[in-house]
Amino acid sequence: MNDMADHSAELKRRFPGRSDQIDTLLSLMGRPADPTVPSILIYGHSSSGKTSLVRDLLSTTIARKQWAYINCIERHTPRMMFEHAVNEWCSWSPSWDNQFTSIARIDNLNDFLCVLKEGVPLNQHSTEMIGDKETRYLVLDRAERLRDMGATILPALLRLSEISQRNICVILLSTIVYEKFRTKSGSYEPLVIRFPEYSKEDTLQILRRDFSEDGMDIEVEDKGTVHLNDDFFRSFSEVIYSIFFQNCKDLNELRHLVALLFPLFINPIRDGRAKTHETAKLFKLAQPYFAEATDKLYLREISSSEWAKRTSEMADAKTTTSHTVDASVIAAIRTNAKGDFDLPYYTKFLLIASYLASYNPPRFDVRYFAKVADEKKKKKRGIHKSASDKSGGKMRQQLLGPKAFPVERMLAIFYSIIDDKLDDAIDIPVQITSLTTLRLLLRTTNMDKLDGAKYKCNVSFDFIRGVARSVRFEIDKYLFDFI
Amino acid sequence: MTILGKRKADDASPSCLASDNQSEDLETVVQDFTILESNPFLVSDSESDRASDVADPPENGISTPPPVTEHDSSLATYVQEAKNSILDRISERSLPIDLSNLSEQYDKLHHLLEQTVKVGESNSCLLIGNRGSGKTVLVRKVIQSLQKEHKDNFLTVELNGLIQTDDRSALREITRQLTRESQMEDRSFTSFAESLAFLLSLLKSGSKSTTPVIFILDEFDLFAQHTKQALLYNLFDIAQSSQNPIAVIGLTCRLDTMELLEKRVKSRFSHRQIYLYPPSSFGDFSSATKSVLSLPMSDSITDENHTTYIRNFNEALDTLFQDPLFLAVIRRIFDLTKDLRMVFKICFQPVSSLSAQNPFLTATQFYDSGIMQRADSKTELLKGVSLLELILIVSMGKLLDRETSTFNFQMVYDEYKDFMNMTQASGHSFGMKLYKRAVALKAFEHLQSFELVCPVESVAKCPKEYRMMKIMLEPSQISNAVAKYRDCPTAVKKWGIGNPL
Ligand SMILES: Nc1ncnc2c1ncn2[C@@H]1O[C@H](COP(=O)(O)OP(=O)(O)OP(=O)(O)O)[C@@H](O)[C@H]1O
Ligand SMILES: Nc1ncnc2c1ncn2[C@@H]1O[C@H](COP(=O)(O)OP(=O)(O)OP(=O)(O)O)[C@@H](O)[C@H]1O
Ligand SMILES: [Mg+2]
Ligand SMILES: [Mg+2]
Repeated sequence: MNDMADHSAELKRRFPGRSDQIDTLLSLMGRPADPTVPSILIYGHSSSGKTSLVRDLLSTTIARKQWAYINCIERHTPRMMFEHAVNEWCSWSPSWDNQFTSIARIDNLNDFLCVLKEGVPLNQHSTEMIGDKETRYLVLDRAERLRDMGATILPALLRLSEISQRNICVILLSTIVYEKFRTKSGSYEPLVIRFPEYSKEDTLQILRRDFSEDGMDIEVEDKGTVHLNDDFFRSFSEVIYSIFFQNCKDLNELRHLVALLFPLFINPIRDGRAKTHETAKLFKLAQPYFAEATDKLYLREISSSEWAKRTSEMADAKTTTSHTVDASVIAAIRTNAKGDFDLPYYTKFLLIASYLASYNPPRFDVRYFAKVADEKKKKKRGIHKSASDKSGGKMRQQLLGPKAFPVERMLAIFYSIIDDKLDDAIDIPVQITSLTTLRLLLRTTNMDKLDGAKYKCNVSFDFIRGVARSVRFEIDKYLFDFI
Repeated sequence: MTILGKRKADDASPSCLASDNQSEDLETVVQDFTILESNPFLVSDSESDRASDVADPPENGISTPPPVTEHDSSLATYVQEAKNSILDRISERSLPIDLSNLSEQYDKLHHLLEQTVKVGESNSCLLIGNRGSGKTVLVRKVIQSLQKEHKDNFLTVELNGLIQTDDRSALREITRQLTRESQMEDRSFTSFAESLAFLLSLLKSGSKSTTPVIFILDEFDLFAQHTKQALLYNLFDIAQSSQNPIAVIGLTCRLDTMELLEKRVKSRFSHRQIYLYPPSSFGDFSSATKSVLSLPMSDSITDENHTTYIRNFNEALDTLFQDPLFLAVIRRIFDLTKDLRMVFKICFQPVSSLSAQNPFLTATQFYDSGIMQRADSKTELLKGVSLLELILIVSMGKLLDRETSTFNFQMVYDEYKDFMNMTQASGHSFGMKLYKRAVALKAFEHLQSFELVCPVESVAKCPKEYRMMKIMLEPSQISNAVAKYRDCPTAVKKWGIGNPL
């Protein structure tokens, strides 16, 4: 009993903000041979500690072979899943010595149940009985994937202990609520445990765990070392939290940002521009990075290793004055804008034409693109919106996405927007095919249907604007009802 | 006692249950049953109420908190024993002590199977009843009593439609179960009928007659999906032609199971059906609950302390079943589903936290676990989304209001942009800023990963911003989520709950 209390205290220390859930789980598990609930569903947001807590909890409280952990994305077929479970329950790992085989061949639920009922023969003399005395646990992470494995797998797992007549407790982990697991004919319902979101206090405490408790010493130019204590880190994480919490509460994301921004934050201390206690000044100096991080790092526009490399490169090149260091780091980060990719000149026009064909209503083509029409008539957004738009402009093509268009229409637009006569050497069908291969165009009709092929333009407005700019084409003027 | 009295007064004043988002499965939305003001299922402000309960356990009328120090270790074992025996029942490992409301069905089935076991008469029968109505338990009870009365004069084969998903595996399982029980050899056969017949012919014990076999097919409707329904055909055929004495018992919760059977299968079936109903009155329901939670007093227990503990435990249970708040929890389950398993669900936590320090069941624990199991999980999940995600959800709600039930990210973003422009213009933005399209798209995809927002078509035919989606929330769930969101800026609150500013 005391042992249990120790475990529980240790777990609560390791997982701030989860003490209720730890208590619940520990009391449901009871002693190893106690009867348990047949199945449990643990759900909560991503990085709310489901995987790490459950694994930690099981490994500290019961013997390793009493529980099996399966990630349903990694082991996505019934066979992989069941064989792995039985391997873990028998402390068997596929290796060179056993020709990388599993301990028992299990193709489907029926085989699995057979193994549960009859046990696994380990050798001539002994058979591993599963769940005859102590409860075995089967942890299924990303359990929502079980729904794709066949209609009966999930309902069967939920009542595995009833069907097999063994002490088995199935623990499902998922970010998805139980309603989404229900099937029409119903099934035994698991006990639901929610891992709630963390409060700000919990989040800060967890973030602080990445930072050693005794603080850390950093080297400062000319002056030996300076000690950074716990509070320093705390105030730093608080700032990170307040910048990002509105759009991101994911712990893993926050930790990632903290890890990457912290070195930049303390840079001014290293090179003597600020002191440890001058937090306000430090924030001011780091402000540009934070702004940049929102976009680039959070959206993964550059990878974290790239970010780390560039920032450290800049920091190493201490030749310039400190202010320009910051500026150039940011510039370096910024340059990695859209992966530039270049298309031949006329192909760009083809893409533009297909964009126009995808987003403009055909009835306005004459007004926009008739060569004969006077330049003057082409006023910017000169055409009145149709009056019968009930949804307050929410049904604009811009919002609805690209419409499929026949090739002929796109070609008509194409010929009208290029100024000069087309070079004979350009093979338009080939260009269309290559745009399709690049997935810039999508073919919406079947391949075998040669006539009347239809396409959709598959690029964003920003992208097409870039393309248009590179060929000095003012695309804004030709788009209907864009805001 | 004062608190109890007060609650009774509350009890008398009926109040309609406010809309509280039952999950999708509960078709029966109970309109006007009266329930206590402080409904324990609603995560409401009844905290203070509960706190007073915790502080004041003797109120429950347990006269003697049993001697603590010297008998501590023996008490711990008694508690452990009690805990295990109740857990055995609510985890459905052991059979309930009595099946009072199913006695008629019990007699029917018992008679039917006894004919097979005693006289060698073949039979087939279908047990139909909702989930948790006691089908499995009933069959197990009957088999148990037959085993007592007739020793080993018959065999049982248990199949489950969830596990034996085709006839091949069903046959393998039948072979496994029969050979295990009567030591026969494996042999392979070409046709299904042939191998089944062979299996049964081997059961001939001595010269006189073959051993009767009782086939129990759980989730019977799933067997009807097997190709050509060969297993069912053969089993019913044997039952009808009385080659071997067998009984085929099907268990299902589908009322239309008969319609699933092919004509040639149906014509061989006896058409005998037994319906099972959940307890029809609240009295039956709560007494069934109570019998599951109570400890039997048996003569074999001689230790004075042990009997005292059992008596005290059952007394505490009596008190529990007089607690109006606890009864309201049970009542609500009864009104919604009549499913005993729902009650078991909320019993798990209180029962597993029994210990020497806390040896009796008390009402407070049940409120908490009741809240946990019945809370609307989507609203709960929404408490943890980021503010941006919440605003996107409200934007989708606004689209829904305009009867745009499917939408894509662009439309949602446009709605969000309008809202932000509006709040910024009126100076109510309170530090909220308009996030870029890409950041919002990431948030949108996050919502998609929870399946709160789902694509309409399974295959993507256009860029992801334009993929048509629908939201899996009711408008009331959305406004509920906004109301419950921690530190929600007033502008968002106003926009999400009421009409636009
Ligand atoms: N309460 C906590 N205390 C300490 N660390 C935590 C806590 N919660 C989460 N973490 C940490 O956050 C990280 C992510 O947690 P984990 O992988 O367990 O989340 P998850 O809920 O399984 O997420 P997902 O749904 O994405 O799989 C882990 O490294 C874990 O250590
Ligand atoms: N009439 C009853 N009296 C006492 N307990 C009951 C009664 N009916 C059901 N139960 C309890 O409910 C539990 C579920 O019953 P059972 O497993 O027989 O349901 P089922 O009809 O087989 O459901 P399913 O269709 O999901 O298999 C049992 O453990 C039993 O204790
Ligand atoms: Mg995980
Ligand atoms: Mg059943």
